[in-house]
Amino acid sequence: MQIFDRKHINLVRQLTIFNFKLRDQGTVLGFIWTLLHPFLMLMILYMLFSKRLGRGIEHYEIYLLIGIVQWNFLSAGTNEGLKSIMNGRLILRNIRIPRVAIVLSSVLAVCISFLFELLVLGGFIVFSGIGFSPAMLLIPFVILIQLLLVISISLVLSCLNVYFKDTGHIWNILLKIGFFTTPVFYSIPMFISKTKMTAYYLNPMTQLMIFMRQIILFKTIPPLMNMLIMFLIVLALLAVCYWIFKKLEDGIIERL
Amino acid sequence: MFRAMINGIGNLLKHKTICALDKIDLCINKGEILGIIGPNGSGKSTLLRIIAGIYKPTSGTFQVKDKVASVLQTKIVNFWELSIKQNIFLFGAIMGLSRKEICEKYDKIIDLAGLSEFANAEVRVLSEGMKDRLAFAISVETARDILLLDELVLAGDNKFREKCFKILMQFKREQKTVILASHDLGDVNELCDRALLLNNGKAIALGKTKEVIGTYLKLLER
Repeated sequence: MQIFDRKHINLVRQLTIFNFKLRDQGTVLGFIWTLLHPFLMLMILYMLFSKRLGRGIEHYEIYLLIGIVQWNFLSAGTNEGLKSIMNGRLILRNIRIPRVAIVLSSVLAVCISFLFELLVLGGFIVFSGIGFSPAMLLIPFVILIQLLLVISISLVLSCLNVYFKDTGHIWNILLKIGFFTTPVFYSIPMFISKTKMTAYYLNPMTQLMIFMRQIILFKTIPPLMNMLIMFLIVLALLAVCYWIFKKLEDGIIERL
Repeated sequence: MFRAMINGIGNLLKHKTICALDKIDLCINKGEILGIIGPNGSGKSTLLRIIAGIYKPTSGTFQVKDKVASVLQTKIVNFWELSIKQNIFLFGAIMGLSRKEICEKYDKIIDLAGLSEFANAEVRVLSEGMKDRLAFAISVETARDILLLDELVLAGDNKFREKCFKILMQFKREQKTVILASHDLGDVNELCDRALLLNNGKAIALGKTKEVIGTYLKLLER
């Protein structure tokens, strides 16, 4: 992949930093907004569900925050990635740069926010008395898997968005459906049909949330085989999505 | 309403192909300043973008032996509400420079653009002329072997124009190639060794600048 050239790394780094700064540029609260969204979601969902869906779940506030933060990264990351090619059209039409750098840097900028949100989560963990454990050393690996997933989706969506402006609308509807069919604010019911169970586990976000919750709430190492399989699946997905991107990129440049 | 719907779907399916460039056969020499002239829509920007590697030609081949700098469109530098300094570092990185190289060229860029007092100001407070000068300065300082300039407005006072001309002549002495698409026939006449006249995507004339300009003027009269 051409993106691993030294000057391309500098390019992605610079674009990421500027995308990150740009998100809250001009606002009064600035960067605080990035942290405020998940915190507000936490408060609302906790108030709504802690007595019912959250009843059997120990440390429901942490359980919830993990789900919210991971879901937020998927949602915000793919939305920024989706818009990145269109937003960067002035540059792409006039300067020759690896186009994948534009998508990558948009997603990485959201990833930086995600890392800060995880720090806030860390604060909650300390406050709740759960404490840290050696299993947390696997958290970067879980983050990496999700990052690759978000990049893969963004590569395809960013191209589709140039051809069909509806892409954003359709994707956000799918995200809304996904939010309710992923155990973000509830745990997977025990007595459901095998089909429903499979549907839950086929959802990569379910797996990623399970990994994170096993590490943080139960302080256990998730089954390494599961993590490895997830990683390989996401790598394969990235390869396919990158191939699609390369096929479409020359066509989209003339439509910008 | 039904008819409107059918028309709408019909429009979606119709695909109009516009041929922006038609059989252009061109060889540009190292150290040359080539001017590309022609009316609006003649394909000047498209040709520059193919040379820059932004567009791929539908057919035919295109080869370039040296590193190509960007096509300059002055609107780029006021893309973000960042300071001039941040813009220079960002666009330097986009042009393929390392942070160290940008640091080395930073003062020269500010000096050439004549914006020393405004270095920490946001780009949006600059006048259009200042933005054009900044864009030109970034492009020229970050160019390696080939510089492409699209619809360059040599904006600003005579002092700046003199600076620009000097730099482009310096490029020529250093055996760097410049390809300049412009509507300003005076600039093209003064700067370029050869010129290419495009009209409706076709190459009408290629040769000595004065002759090609003459052909263009005759074309305009018709």
